[in-house]
Amino acid sequence: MKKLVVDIDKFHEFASGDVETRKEMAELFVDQAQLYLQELLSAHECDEVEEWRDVAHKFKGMAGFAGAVRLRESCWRAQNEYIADRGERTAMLSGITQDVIQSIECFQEYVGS
Amino acid sequence: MFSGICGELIMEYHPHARFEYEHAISKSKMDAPSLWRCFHFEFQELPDGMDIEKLAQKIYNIFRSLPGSFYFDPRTRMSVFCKMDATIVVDDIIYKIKSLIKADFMCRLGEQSMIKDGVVALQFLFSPTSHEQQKLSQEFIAQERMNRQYDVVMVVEDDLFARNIATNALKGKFKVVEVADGGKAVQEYLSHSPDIVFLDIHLPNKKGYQILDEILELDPKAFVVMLSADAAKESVTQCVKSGAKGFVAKPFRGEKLFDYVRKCPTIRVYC
Repeated sequence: MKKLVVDIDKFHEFASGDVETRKEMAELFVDQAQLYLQELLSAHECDEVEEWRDVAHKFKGMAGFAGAVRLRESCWRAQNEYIADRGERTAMLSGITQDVIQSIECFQEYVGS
Repeated sequence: MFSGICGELIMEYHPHARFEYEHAISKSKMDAPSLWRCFHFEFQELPDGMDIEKLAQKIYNIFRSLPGSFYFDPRTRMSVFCKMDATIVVDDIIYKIKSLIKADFMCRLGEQSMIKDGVVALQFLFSPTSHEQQKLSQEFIAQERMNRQYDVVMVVEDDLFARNIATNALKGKFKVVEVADGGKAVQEYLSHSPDIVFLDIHLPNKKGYQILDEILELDPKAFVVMLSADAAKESVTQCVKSGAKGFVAKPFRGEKLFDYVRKCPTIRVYC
């Protein structure tokens, strides 16, 4: 079974508040996800393994709060699995990018609803 | 062993030195009681290897080098009964005692009281400067909390999204101070004297464990709760051993933070 991209119930559970507050949080996710993806890419290109782990950790935390299930899992792998190899990281980054795009689409839809 | 008593007045050992003085000071034995002072010297956390008996002997020597009369009782609270005149300056004596300790010590005046016939008793407390600074910062923080009309919660978290989750949950009831940079957390703690701190472990520039240690050094009663996505048993144990009041695993619901807010003794808002 294909895993849910964003579990909106989880998002509502953590991002408490009124509709406007939740929409603001969804917009914040869209902005921050792009920022973190950029930071991951930069750490990858510079072979900064520790920086890569730190960003992946932070990204994983945000994805958890947002209910971005798939993104959280791919960030967990990026933080904890073997990442010294550039090729491994490239593959991970590609997966994370896909998850980010899909998560952003979900939240943009949520904001527009 | 150092005998401790000198001068013409013989004092019997008694656990309450002040009681002795009350009996010892009498106009028949002593001229102008108002010129006499009773000094009590107390020492906290003397450096390793410093022997209180030897220190007493050296303090005795300081007084012996001064003109005038004195009585010395090192057995109780290292008390000296000294006749003050123009040549005896308390600051000089304190300076000399501090030099004897050979460590970074401060001296502050403790209790002041009047004993029989107008004789003034003064207590001098010697303690490490770091200890005194901690005390000052603690007093300052406690005062700040008492003086304000609201409660302050500090959230130290570098991820803006997680910080907003916490802030949105808390801001209706408390003033929320947000800190993103681990390197600024301790400074912000001193600036805002928060009642409770939610402190992330993985932070840029300074890790949460180190911040926790530094905050507790300044304010041992600080109410700090750690936040982390890494909810491993070792992390929780380490935080609690270090003095954190609790641990909240990420992601968390706002209500989870209130569980700790309610336990914080200085929070006045009902929640």
